Amino acid sequence: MVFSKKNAGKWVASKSGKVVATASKLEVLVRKIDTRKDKKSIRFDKVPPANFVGFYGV
Amino acid sequence: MEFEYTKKECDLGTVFIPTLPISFNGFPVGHALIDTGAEMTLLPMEINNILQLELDVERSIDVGSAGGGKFKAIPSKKKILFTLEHSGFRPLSWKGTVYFAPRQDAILLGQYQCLSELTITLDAPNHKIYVNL
Repeated sequence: MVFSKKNAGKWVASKSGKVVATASKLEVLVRKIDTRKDKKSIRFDKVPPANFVGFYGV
Repeated sequence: MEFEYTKKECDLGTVFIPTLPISFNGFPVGHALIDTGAEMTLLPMEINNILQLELDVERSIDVGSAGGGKFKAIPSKKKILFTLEHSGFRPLSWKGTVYFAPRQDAILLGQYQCLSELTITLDAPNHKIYVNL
């Protein structure tokens, strides 16, 4: 799967590396996937912003 | 276990970043970023709307982002189950604390009770990740 600029900031659901659904809210995406027969083979991601670095604890 | 880097589009062009498919108490994430410099595992709060974990607000910590911003991260009260799965391999599972932040832009795997449990080899030129518990 590609973390694309188009999906930056969105929640995506993918199967075997292909995006099958997107949504701006995770709960909406989970509801969409819940109706699929293949839902057990779906994984979820939040696509990071196009330019991204991490964090540190202080 | 062997995994592929994830292709990512950014203003530099296309870069490859190390990620792992991991489940948090059974919630399946496809590409969680291996953030070797991060001290803890940090998840968007929306994931806890699904997991419904009890959070320990009194143990919240201040976290700084690389650009200079700060925010509060709230830990789970109890350790959760991390599971790493790959077809043809026995799943790797362990327990650890995760932290949540309301406006978290990515799913990050940090050292505390997560990456510290694993032996990870990053083969960046070949976009491969090798993991053992």
